[in-house]
Amino acid sequence: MADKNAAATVAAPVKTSKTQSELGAAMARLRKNKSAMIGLGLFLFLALLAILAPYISPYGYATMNPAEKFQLPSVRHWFGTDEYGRDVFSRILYGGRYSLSVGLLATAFAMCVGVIIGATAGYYGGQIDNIIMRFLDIFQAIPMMLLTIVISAALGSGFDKTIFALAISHVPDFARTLRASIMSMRDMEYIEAAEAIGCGTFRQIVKYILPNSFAPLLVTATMNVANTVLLTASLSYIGLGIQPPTPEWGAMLSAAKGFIRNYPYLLIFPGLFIATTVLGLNMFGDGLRDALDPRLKD
Amino acid sequence: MADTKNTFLEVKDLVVQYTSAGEVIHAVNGISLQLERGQTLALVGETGAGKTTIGKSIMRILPDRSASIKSGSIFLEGQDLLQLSEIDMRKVRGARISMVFQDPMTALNPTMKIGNQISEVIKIHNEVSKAEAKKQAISILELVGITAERYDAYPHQFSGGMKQRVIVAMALACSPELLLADEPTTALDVTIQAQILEMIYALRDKSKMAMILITHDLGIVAQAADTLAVIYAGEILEYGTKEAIFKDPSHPYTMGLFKAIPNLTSDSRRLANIEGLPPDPTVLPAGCCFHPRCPYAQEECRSIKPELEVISPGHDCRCTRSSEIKQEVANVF
Amino acid sequence: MSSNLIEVKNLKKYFQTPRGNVHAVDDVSMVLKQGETMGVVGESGCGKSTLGRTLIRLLDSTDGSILFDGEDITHISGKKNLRQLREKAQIIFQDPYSSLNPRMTVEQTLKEPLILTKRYTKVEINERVEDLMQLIGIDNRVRMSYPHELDGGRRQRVGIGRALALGPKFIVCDEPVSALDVSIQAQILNLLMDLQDKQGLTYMFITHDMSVVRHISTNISVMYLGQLVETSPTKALFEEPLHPYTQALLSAIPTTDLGGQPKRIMLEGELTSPIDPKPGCRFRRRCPYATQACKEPQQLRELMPGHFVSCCRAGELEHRHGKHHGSHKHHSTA
Repeated sequence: MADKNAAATVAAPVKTSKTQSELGAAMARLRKNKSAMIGLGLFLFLALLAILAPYISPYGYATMNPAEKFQLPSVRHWFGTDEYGRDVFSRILYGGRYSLSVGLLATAFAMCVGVIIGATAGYYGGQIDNIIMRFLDIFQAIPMMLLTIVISAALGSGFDKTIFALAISHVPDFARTLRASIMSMRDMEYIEAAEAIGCGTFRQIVKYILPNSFAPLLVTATMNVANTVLLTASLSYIGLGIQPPTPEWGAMLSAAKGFIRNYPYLLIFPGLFIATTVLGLNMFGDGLRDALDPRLKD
Repeated sequence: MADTKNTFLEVKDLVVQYTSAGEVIHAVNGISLQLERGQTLALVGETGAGKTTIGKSIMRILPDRSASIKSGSIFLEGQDLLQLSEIDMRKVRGARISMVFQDPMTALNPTMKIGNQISEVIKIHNEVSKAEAKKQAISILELVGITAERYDAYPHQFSGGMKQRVIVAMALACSPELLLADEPTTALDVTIQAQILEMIYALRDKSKMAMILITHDLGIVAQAADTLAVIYAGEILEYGTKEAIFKDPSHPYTMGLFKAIPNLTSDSRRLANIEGLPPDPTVLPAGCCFHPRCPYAQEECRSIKPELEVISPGHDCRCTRSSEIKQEVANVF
Repeated sequence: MSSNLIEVKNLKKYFQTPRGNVHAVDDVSMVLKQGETMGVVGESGCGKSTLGRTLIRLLDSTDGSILFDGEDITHISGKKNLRQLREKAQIIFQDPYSSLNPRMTVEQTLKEPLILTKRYTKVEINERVEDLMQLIGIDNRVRMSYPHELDGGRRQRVGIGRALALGPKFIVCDEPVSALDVSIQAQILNLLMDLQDKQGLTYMFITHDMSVVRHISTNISVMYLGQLVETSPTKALFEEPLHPYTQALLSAIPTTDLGGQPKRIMLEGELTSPIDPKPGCRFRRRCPYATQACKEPQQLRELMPGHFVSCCRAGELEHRHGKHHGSHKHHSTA
């Protein structure tokens, strides 16, 4: 008698010979998206430059040479020199290490904390959700720039403290994104099914809910990195964040503002690199969003 | 089916394709239909057979980017709808041809009062004042059993059955000559379904409207249809009057459908099912599109594509072995 | 004579909402015998899905009792106790598209209940998965496939396999074929019936489709807005529906019989809300036979052997008996 049912498997073959998870299918779509790949390429290129800074920069970032100050871009100094005779190109390379890593670390930190908070609020709902959300509301009621400035001012400037300040102000973003995902998923039958076969709460969240809700998280994370890189630059620009002689791009911009008229190149290069980073990340982020939710395109 | 020059609606050799992720989906593969005024044609088939695509093609509301009508014509009283400009087609939609969609939950604009959604249709097609349009809308609402005081209500304040009534009202607001009803009651409870169907039939009879009813439910076909077309993999496998097909189902797929339906009179416990699954529309089988699932398939079925042949007046079938198969079946009993 | 596997007494399940109490299941009693199928029918909002879930303790009941295999499971709690129950009582869901975790392969889904129960070794689990796949008619080729790569019928088979993994005695089938095409429906229904014969399973088959329920059920219970209005063996229900709602339900079904379109009992109005309902029969506003007496709470009375109705007028009404006769029975209308 089982044969009759086995026969059902004969006719329609499963199309792909190699099975592909939904994520795999999304990644394939992503790879086809030109602007996303260009964006990713740009970002990776800049990251590579930053990583290889100690090996490829012609000079140290703090090496001063007053005799060669304010030199225009030339063969010896590709991006010219600043007011202390430091090679701008080398400073840009090293600066990338700070600007990018602050962006990535702050986002990673915010994501971890945000996920825990968002998961708790989303899964349990009710009063717990209420309390957490109101708490987040308070954070989000303050304009992010201002919030970051206040925290940064309170903590002081410096690498670690800036990361911390940036992370805190971005936690609500992640928490809300994940909470929304979880809430839309909570009533899915496969969560009920997990309950019915004896799956405990923790395993439900980790194995059933999180894997299915991190798609929007990825998009948020990508956009966040762009945002934090920009914010880091802004903080340094106004004297918080990372301060000279550390060659953070925003700090370099800040230092250059006194010389705009005569030596605009001091402004152009850090600005260009900041803009390229943000552009690349945004292009990639848009492509990621499209790839993960193909329905939007049709 | 006899071709007459004065047929109200004639679809000729319609071919429609979708493209998705670089693949071509052969949704409709050469469909021809005829419909007279006041008649009801049922398009019967399972998910993915192409019935909705046919309906949307007649209305020309297929998604621009992914769908394309490759060839064929759709004549409404002699005029090919596929040749009309978009502006002219808009005059046809809602006024001469209307559609009732499947899911009442999503077919209404949630931010607009239901009364206004109906009067909007009226205003678009008629030169009337706002007040006059509202008056007409109210009378249609009452026709579908919704009191005038609910004109200002929003969709979310209605139940599924009520929403579907609003949708029917919208479709009938301009007294169309042809109504396309795409599974109009699938999402509704059985007792509500009965109400809505009765209402649709009554309105149809009153205005002598032609109707194309898209459904998978043969019971509804028995109630409502004059003629029916059995659709599978974008093709018509059997086409004819309701009486002819119900009394003498001639295609193995049609026979299978009738046997697979749990009905309220047979006493046997097990259901006769159709083995296998509908074909992948990107890779349709060679020969007869049904042969992979057909218990009577032979060598010729795998390579030769059968034509739609007349097996009796008012009854066409696309199966070269139809009479042999009926003989086989009869011999078994 | 098979024993009673499940005895439900005066079961109530209310949900608290800001607008009031939703009486999803209101004072329902029934008995399910081992090896049989109890069909539960009704339209949306009647509480049949809630009933099924409450029965296997996916939801906590508000009042009443549930006896499973002699044991009172109404209030059991704690991971261990619930796990034990899960091994005996399982559920199959309606929507094959949302009842499987999109990130788990067929194999992972089938393994999951076995892993959670912590009673099998890796080798045993693999063997069991092989057996399951054979049982539900799924080819080894799709073992590593993800749900979105499978069609509705196959997904539903996986859902059935998941429910069978722990070897339960009782399965709640919550509209298991409603989302499937007609030809696939037949396959899945046949599979469910075969499994029942092979393994002696007891089913509660929840559906709104009267023709489907007729094929698979031994007994049928009809629900309306949380109340049980009629329950009887299948044949009797179709030949002689006693409750006006059941009669209307049966007459509303379009039949493929060209000559025999039934005289349709059209119901006026819509289902009312189950929020804080007034006492008495909830069907009375739509019932063509309602009287003052219907405002009183109705009792479930046994009007014929094994045939219970909750309607004060059921006995006296002219019997509009079902058009759906068995092949050799006839009745004269009263």
